[in-house]
Amino acid sequence: MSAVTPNKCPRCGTPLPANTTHKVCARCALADVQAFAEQESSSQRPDLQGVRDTGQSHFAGDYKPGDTIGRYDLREKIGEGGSGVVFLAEQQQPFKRQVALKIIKRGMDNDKVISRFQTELRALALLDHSSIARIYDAGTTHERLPFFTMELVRGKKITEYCDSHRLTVPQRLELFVKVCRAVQHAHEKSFIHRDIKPSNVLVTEENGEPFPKLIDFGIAKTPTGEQLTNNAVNTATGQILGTLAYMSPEQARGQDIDNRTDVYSLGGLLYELMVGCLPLELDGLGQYEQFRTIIEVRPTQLTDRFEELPLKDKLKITHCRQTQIDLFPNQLHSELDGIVMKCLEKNRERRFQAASDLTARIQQYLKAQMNAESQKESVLAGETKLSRKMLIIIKTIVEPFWLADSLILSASERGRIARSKWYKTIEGIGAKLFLLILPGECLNAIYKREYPVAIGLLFVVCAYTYVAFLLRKFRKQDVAPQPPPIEITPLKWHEHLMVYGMMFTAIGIYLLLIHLMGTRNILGIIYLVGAFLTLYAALWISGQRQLFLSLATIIICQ
Amino acid sequence: MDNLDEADGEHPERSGLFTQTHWSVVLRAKEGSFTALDTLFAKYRKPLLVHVLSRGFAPDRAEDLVQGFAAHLLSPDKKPFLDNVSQQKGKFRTFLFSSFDYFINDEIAKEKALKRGAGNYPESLNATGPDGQILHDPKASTPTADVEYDRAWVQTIVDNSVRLLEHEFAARGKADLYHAIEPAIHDDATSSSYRDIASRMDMTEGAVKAQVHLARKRLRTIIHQEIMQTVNDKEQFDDELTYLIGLLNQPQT
Repeated sequence: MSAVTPNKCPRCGTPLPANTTHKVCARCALADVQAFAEQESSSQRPDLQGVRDTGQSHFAGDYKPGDTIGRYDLREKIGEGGSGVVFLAEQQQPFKRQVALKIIKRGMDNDKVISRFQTELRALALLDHSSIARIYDAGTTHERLPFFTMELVRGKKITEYCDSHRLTVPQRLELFVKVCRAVQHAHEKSFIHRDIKPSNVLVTEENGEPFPKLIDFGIAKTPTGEQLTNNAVNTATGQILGTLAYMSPEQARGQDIDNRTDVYSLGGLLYELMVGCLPLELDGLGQYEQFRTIIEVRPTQLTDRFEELPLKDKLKITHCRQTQIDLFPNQLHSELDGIVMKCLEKNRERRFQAASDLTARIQQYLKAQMNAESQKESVLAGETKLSRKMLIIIKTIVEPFWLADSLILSASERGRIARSKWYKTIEGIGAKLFLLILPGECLNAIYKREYPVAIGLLFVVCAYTYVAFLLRKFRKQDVAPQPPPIEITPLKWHEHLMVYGMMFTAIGIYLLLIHLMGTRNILGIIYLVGAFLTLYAALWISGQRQLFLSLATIIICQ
Repeated sequence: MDNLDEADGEHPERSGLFTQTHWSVVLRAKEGSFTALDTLFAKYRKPLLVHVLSRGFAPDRAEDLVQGFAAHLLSPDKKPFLDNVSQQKGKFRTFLFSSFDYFINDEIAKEKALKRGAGNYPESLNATGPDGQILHDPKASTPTADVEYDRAWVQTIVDNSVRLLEHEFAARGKADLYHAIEPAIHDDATSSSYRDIASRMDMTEGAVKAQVHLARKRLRTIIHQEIMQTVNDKEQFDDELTYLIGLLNQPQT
């Protein structure tokens, strides 16, 4: 060994740069690195399941349709992900059938990955759920690249399916619940999917009903230790595996993962199913920025997120949910928002602790929504024995005639018809009654957003009032030469008030009763019926029998 | 010239949470944490220097420019530049090169403007793009415009790696051992040299061979990581490695 720095590398003869303090030949060093990398990938590995290899060799693990791997003939490429490529393949032995064959990409095939792959495959065989794609077989290729075959799922990505079939928000939620159930099943068997995203949730149809299928259960994603640690970043090579869009904060941090990681991903999926975009905007950001966002940035609320979108997107999203732009935000109730946000909590202690909790919560929500809908319908039904509008039309037509008739009659036939106390009272009070009912109807119409009806009624009220005034004036003028009319005790002003008050109360009670019947509030109904009857009794006793009869007529007409 | 002395055991690129590529360091600088960025610049000073010199600047002016570049990127008002850096689709080597080149052009232009007496900050003379946009073009071929820069880059990577290895040994208190086996790491020593080392270090020959083997393996890993930090994924890594080796195969001009 010479103590003098040689001018040439003793191994390759490349002249060494003069100003290096180390006796290193860069070329040799790098060549070593390259050789080392190649050696790693071609070292001997135990065969997984003794599948017969055909002996075909391929460079860089690039398989293509037409190739054969063991007893499977590759037919076409149906997908490609971070860790592998998926083919549609035809099994030849022991019988023919079509399967999905996933082969691990070159570069992912080192010892750690393989052994973990093997363990996982054995455990995956335990998963038996209609919504989880079954694993059939596994093996290695001639080049020692691992592969496995699974149930071929012909379906669309869940997001695409929902959009193309224009599923409404409740329908999407129901489909989502099915997915959660599958995930829960896996969790119960101690299996964490790790990669829940739309492309791993395919939807097929069975009996016309959408049927989700979960595929690709965390197989051979990263080299990990014995514990369920998961770095979605391969720390040896610095490589990011797969998309970050659905990655949970703990994955981004490189912490260990558990079933709540899947809950987070489910939350991301739900978010996308609701508003058509991801909870966090990661596009265009660098790796570091993406991680930072996942760990620190809170996702925007559903409604706010929707509002922020450009009009074009809003149109598309609402179209795909069979709704309209102004109605959609109402469907994204704060309760639903709360559910989604709880899944997406950065701190996993604050999320739903199990997929089944999420399922239960959503079902609770759906049930409440359905109840609210049916309540609304029954209230409407209770209130209209006849069609509401029809009633209003009838009243609007009939009332003016009756009113005008009675007023004109009193004016013209003053000399000839001795008006009975009965008649006059009816006429007077009847007119007042209708004038009072109409504003009530008007307000009701406004409440139900039947604006044309409301305006019509308002007009009628004003018209009546005016006509009544005019006719009254008329009447007063003509009264003088007559024989004095039959004495009727006119009501004093406070008595008027009392009468009106009672009428309002009676009608109000009646309406409330209808509402309560709709909500089936038995106690309330009993109370109100009692109040109503008391009121009637009071009216009867105080002698306002005419009032009682008029009220009765109105109510019957209702 | 090689006055890089990272604190023993403290490698900013290795600690922390995320993928520790150089991009993450640059991006952290966006947040105001410049220490790592500073270290980074110190690490790759040599290739930058080589490039400046190859553009015909005098040595002391060259030094100024390299320092100036680091300061330029580290100053807070150059935030827009760092904002652009989030589009990291290229290799760090080329990124550093193009941004440095751009900076040099700027400086030249500035000087010319001052000479002319304009006093204003001139328009960029760099034909590559609008002001402020110094992104590496991912479609550009791997070699940079200056092959010397690339060669210096390779050498720097290897030198840095060897230095790291030395530091690792020193951190374990085995600096002497390292110096003894260092020649053996880099070329295939004959068995007689192993015997020499063994007797010098009071170890068995077999132990020496084992140490050498381990050191070589470790060096390979370090170089692998060093290069990995300048690229984004495995494909780019393979590409870069092939290119760099090819570079060294060519006869030096």
